[in-house]
Amino acid sequence: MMIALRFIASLAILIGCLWAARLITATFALSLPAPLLGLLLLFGLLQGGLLRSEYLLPSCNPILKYMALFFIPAGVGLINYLAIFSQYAWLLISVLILVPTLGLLLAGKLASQGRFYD
Amino acid sequence: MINMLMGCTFTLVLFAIMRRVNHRWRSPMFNPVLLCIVLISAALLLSNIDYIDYRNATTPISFFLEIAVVALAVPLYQQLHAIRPYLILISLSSFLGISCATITAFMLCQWFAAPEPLMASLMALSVTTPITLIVTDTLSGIPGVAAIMVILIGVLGGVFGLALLTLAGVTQPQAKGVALGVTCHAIGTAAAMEYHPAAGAFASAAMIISAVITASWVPVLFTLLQGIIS
Repeated sequence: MMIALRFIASLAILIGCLWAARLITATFALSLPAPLLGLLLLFGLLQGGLLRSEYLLPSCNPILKYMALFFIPAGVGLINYLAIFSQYAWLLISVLILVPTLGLLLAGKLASQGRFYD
Repeated sequence: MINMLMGCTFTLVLFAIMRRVNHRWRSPMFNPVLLCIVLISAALLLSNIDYIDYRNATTPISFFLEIAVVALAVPLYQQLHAIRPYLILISLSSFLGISCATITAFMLCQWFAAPEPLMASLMALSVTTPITLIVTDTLSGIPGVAAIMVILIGVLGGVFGLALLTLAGVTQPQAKGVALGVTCHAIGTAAAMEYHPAAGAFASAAMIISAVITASWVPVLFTLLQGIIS
């Protein structure tokens, strides 16, 4: 019972941040995506000491652990675009190979300039 | 027609089974999301169910997509003290990796004369799927294409990323983690965690920082690139 209440309370904080962000982006006509502003708002609340991360863990842990589940409905949307997949197969294959290779090499090379202590 | 209870239960059960499969054969190739998307797509095509019906039946699942982005603030906050000295380095690496990914995808689209909506779907592929879907939506791209490509990039990076980085002379686990987190989001982060705890911590920080950078920078960069071309 307590677990369910804690889950609902922490979920309410997350939804509250998202709605506050939606309100702000709509009011000021910002091009920033609302969920991202919500992330920054919540981060600000945590960093400013207004919220403790323990309050959020009951819902954040399962949501982040199973986050992958939430993309499935959007991903299935590909069935409406099967023609595009076959028509532009070579473009998509080149993107699949080049984008991660170049990204990994550049980000890795730059990051390896850091002095890391173990 | 399918109702919400059926759509959600089917998706949840299949996801649980695919996670089991993934635990049994530990390999990024058996990515549970990828398997689920392929199987559900096949099931819908075979049973002649419209995607719109499935999409409506699973709105409770999609509802959590935006909430999950907000929830990323918690791990970022928890890790901030550990990575604070490297914050600028990680941010610069993210910025470089993301800009390069977007410019590469843009140039390939020009080369192959891709139509506008397809191009818009390939601009933000290095980040975690909810951010990709949000950016794709802002640029009026095709969410289904973007989601599949993001997952495939993550899987490829998870399988070959560490070896590629070693070949390129990147040896510190922390730097490898940053590269995997920037380029291959959650799937790369999982691979980094398995490889080394420090790599995992840096990967998840890099993943979240690049999510913030992608969402704010990629739409601007895309407009700039279009301006240069026309």
